[in-house]
Amino acid sequence: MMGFWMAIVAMAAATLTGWSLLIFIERFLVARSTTRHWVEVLGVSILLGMAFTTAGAFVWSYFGGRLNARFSWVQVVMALVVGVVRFSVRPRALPLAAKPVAATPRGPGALARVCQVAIGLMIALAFAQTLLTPQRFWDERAIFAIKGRVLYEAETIYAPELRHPDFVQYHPQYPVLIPLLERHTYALSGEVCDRWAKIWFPLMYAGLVLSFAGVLSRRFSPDEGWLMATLLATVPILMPDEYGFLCAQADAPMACFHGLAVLCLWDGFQEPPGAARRRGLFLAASFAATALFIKDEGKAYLLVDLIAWGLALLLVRGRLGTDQPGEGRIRSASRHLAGMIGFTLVACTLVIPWSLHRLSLPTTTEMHYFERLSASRLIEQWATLKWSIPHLLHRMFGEWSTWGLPWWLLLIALVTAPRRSLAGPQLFLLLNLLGSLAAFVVAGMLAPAELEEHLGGSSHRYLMQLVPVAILFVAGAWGRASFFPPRGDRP
Amino acid sequence: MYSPNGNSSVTRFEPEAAISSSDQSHSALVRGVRCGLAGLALLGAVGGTLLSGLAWLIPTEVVQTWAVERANPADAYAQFEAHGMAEAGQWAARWMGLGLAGLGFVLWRKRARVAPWIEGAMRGFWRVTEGTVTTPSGQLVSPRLSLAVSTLKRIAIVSALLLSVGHWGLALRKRFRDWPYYRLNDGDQVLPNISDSNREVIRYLQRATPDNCRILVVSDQKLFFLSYYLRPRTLYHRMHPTAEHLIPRANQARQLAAYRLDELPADVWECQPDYVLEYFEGSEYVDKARTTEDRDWLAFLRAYSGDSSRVPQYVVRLRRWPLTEGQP
Repeated sequence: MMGFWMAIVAMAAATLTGWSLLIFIERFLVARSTTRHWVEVLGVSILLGMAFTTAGAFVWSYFGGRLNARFSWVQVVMALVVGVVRFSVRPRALPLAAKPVAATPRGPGALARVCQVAIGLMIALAFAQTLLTPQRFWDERAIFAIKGRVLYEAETIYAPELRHPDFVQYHPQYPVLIPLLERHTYALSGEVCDRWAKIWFPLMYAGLVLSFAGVLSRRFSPDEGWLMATLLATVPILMPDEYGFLCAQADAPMACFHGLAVLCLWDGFQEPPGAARRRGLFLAASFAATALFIKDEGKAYLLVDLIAWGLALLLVRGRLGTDQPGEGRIRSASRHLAGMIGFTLVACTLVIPWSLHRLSLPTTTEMHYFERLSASRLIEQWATLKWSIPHLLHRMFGEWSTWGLPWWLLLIALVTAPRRSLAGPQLFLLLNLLGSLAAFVVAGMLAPAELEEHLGGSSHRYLMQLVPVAILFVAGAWGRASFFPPRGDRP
Repeated sequence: MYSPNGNSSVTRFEPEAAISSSDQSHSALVRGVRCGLAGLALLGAVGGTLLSGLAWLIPTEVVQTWAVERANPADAYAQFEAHGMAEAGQWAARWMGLGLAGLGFVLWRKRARVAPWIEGAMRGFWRVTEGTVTTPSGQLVSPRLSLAVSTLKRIAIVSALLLSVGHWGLALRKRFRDWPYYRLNDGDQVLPNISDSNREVIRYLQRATPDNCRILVVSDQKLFFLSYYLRPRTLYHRMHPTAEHLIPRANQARQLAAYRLDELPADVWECQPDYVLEYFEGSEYVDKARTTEDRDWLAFLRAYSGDSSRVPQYVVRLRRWPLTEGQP
């Protein structure tokens, strides 16, 4: 049971780390008057904390430090001390009162309250269900847990095993955020127990859902924000499907961090140029870099984010989000271009250590998608689209009873709100989704594996990674910016 | 066009209009919610008390015997599952029944305060899912179209939520099914979700080799689970290039190409192994005469399986490396 208690400690410390970091980012990038609901602060802190805990460990080891128990305890103690001091000395560093963009004369309505109870129950059940089984699937053991175990035993990212081409592990070049999180738990408890190391995954689920609830409540209204967060929390492929947040594979974490990166971009676009937009873009770049530190799809998503951003900017002729009053199209577009450069620079800078380290890792069983990308190969493999596109559509729409209704909801949102769906930030989301789907189909054309086995066995997990963006699109299409709760709504 | 972001006069909620066009049906809804809540509270309190009481009174062995008798007698796994699920179910009934009863009692006492929340939530849902189809200038296009949009949105959201309830039910049932296999053991104890042969080889190597040794394996299998559960031993395996991107199938339905010991490229030996393991399961690589070649393995397998005459169907041969004098 020591492993369980240490997992709880690790979780609390990571959250406090994220909270302190978020305050730091807010102080530097945002005006003091900005207020965020504590739910949004908590959700973002959880995910930021996990990212920073692992990135800190990676950089420490990259420069020769030992990844031993002492290092993990230093991380925990520092997080607790800084977090508690921050909390007690400056309790109002981030005002906890909600101040949604949409004017709400009163706090959350009854619908928001009911959704909060439902989400709280689902998060509690997610923790219970996750911890009821040890790690037992192919990817979670063959790719991630084995690396986590070696990192724990060797206490360095330069473990000779991980750099040996014949050492038995799957995808030696896969990023190490999940292995480092698991190592952190083992280091604190002093033993390997792959059941308690799974505690990070329901925590990610909580972080994702709370972040969505907070941002959407601020952007629209508490009732709408929490209803949409409930829709996200209840998509079966994310929870409670076996391959979602209940297991220690990387697809649900990818959904979480990629979803949050897009959420922050979408949120940032709706801020007028200035500190609040910069904050959104900075957080988006941080989460996009974290996604890249989880699984190789992160690279594709980073590219898709940039392409969708650029295309949307072109299609709406420079007016992608909220502009300064009287600002011209060229001025607005140039601000966005500067934003794109900043986003790319921050994301790429954050992943430099990992990218350099990756070069020294073996390439056994790697698919080498980017190296295989060429016009001649795409033309040669064109015929694969006859299978892959219908397959993808069937997975999205035909298998709704197994994976959930997010794609049907997206389609209905598109039909019922076409004007809004094709304008501004919503257009960015739509292009982002289309780009991500196209990336998957292209991966099928490039992979050195049997098409039907390769895509057929992974398409449901890939689509899972896009679910938060799909639900965000639905929320954006259906949300009302102006909202006044009626009398008698609250008892 | 539909404009959810239209001006506030269009999107503002009118409770009476949203719930019903008449006060009569509105008050019927209120009465319905209150009656439903009272019924649920009673059901929870009485049902939970009965469930928990019975679960505490009846001995676990009685429940397990009852469950095993109903499982397929020819299927040992089904009986094992039934036995464990009965135990898990009884403990869940004991505590969850108590919780349900408590919740029912609280709900019964507080029903007058809770009912307005439920009504408010329903009104809130009705309001936020209201679709108003307007022109770009905010003029209402068609009340019928607005109603159709609202209805479509409500049906879609309610369907998604109901589907989720079904999935949560199935997931909880799955946890009960999992319990007999996993309980609170960790992966190293259970070796979950792997083939019996993998499990036997892991247990053998754990006994036959010291921690921290280096084992070079020649095999037609994917060895990721062996590598994971055998840590801190380090497993090396040169995968055949044609097998690199192939996924194995159950019961050796797909034969993966592999190097035999004498076919290994010279650079493989640079890992300086302490042991060399030959492990083949596919028909192309299994020579029946070699399945009993390793006497230690054979002795272990017979003791492990409790079958003193067992002849393995696959080849396992572990040797200390480099070979010493007199070693077979």
